[in-house]
Amino acid sequence: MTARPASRSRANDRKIGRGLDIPLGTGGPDRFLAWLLAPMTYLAILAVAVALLVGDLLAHWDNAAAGVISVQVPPIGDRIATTARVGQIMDIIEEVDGVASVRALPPDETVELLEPWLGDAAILAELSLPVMLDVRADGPEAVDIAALTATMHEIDTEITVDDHGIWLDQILGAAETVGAIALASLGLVALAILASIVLAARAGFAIHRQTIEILHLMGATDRYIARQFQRRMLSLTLRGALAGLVIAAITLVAVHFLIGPVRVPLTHAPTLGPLDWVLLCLVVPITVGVGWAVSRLTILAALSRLA
Amino acid sequence: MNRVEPLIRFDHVGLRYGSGPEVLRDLTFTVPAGAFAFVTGPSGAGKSSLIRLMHLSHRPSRGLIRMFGRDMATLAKRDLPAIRRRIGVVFQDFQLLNHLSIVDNVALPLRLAGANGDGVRSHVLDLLRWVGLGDRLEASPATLSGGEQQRVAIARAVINRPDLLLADEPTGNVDDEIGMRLMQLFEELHKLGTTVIVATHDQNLIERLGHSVMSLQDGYLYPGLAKAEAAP
Ligand SMILES: Nc1ncnc2c1ncn2[C@@H]1O[C@H](COP(=O)(O)OP(=O)(O)OP(=O)(O)O)[C@@H](O)[C@H]1O
Ligand SMILES: [Mg+2]
Repeated sequence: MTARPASRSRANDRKIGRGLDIPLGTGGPDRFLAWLLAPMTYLAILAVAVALLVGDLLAHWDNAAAGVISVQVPPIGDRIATTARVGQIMDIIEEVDGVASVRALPPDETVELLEPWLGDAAILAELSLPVMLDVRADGPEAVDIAALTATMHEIDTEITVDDHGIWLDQILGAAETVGAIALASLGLVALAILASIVLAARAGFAIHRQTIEILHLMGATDRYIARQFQRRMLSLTLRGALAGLVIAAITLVAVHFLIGPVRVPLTHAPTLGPLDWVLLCLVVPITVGVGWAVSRLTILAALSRLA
Repeated sequence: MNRVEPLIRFDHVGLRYGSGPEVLRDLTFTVPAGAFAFVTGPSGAGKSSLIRLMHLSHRPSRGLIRMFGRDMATLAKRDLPAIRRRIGVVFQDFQLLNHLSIVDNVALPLRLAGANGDGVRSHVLDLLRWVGLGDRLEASPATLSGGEQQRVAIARAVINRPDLLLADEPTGNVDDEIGMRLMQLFEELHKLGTTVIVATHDQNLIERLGHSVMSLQDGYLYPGLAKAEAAP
């Protein structure tokens, strides 16, 4: 019971029937729901963010990576001989159907690419390195890789042609798995949110059952009683979901600034656009809406079981 | 039937709680609209049970009850609240809401009926002053004495000017003076057209007011029946 501190004169000005007829804020695990919903919506929003990032990656990978073919020409003799040979090979490749352009990576770019695998750039520069040719096709699968490989092997079987297919398959496969896990977690979290709303509504009903029965005897309709729960649930879910959103936003922004955008070699760097943020924010009204509807159904069902 | 249909009609009504014995047996009577009737009988005779049947909070285990021109047996559950809001009831155990102030308790039937204007509060305050609780408006019913709680329950039952007023021992916890004052409230309501049914074992009260009497004994209704039917 809460004390009412209003003085007599103020009390007389007060309108009646401000609060709830059912003291839902008091007693029981009611307020706990907001604390439960904050981490659950947090997880839901992160799961949505991961799914959106993966979706972005998958939607754009072909723009960035498809049609990129690497041809690696092993060095022969001195640098001049190698360069001449590379020029010859580039001419041949340019004539191949579906090839848009061929570019030889300058040695320092090659060194940069190999550094993570082979170590110190200074030492690498001294080595006689293979020349990397960056071939751009007109589009994904525009170039017959097998034919190109055969042509190259006629010149030198040491030349390798790589369309990054295996590499990309692995990356994209991993991304798809991560996306699927994110969606599955989202589903599980959604179920947990649903369950906690149902449980909170049922607990509230059980705790305040006597009050509900008196209201019934006074002629309160089921809808009137359910509305009281819905109003309470609205404030609880709103508080919990907003808290979850704020923490999730902080997490995502922090990840962005501390780690930078996620970079996967040869693919588009996925980011959250304005529309994605709108979607993330939508988790809040959806949670609140679900809480509103589910608490209503739960209470109406419980009321129909009353004698 | 060439008469106006009675407000309440019981036809061979029996009531048992669970698998217990019948506490009301074969009640057949009518209460015309606008009547004022007492239900009397010794403790355990079934007065409160009869009130519960008339308030539709229990269903009879046999027989037919017709109220407000409708068969209660075929009444859909969703139609119950609207009928209950036409009935004011004073429970023997009051059934007040302790988390609400006295004012809000009394205003509850108005709120359930959708009234929430400025007039509501002054109406409630007037009534509470009349029953002598003008200085305890914001208190919780839990802090009141039994007699004071009874007066809150009565104020709540009459605030809506119900078509039917059911009162179970409404003067059981108050002294004679306040008891007469409360009965005056019932008489006022009765004059305005409300059908009033008061369960009491206070013979003084019955004699002083001189309305018709239904007498219960061991679940059976005794001669008072004829008088009840003859009421105006
Ligand atoms: N909820 C209940 N469950 C089981 N039996 C009940 C219940 N309520 C009442 N009874 C029984 O029904 C009988 C009639 O009870 P009721 O309360 O109607 O009597 P009453 O006339 O109002 O008595 P009093 O004057 O003491 O209020 C009693 O024998 C009582 O034991
Ligand atoms: Mg009784």
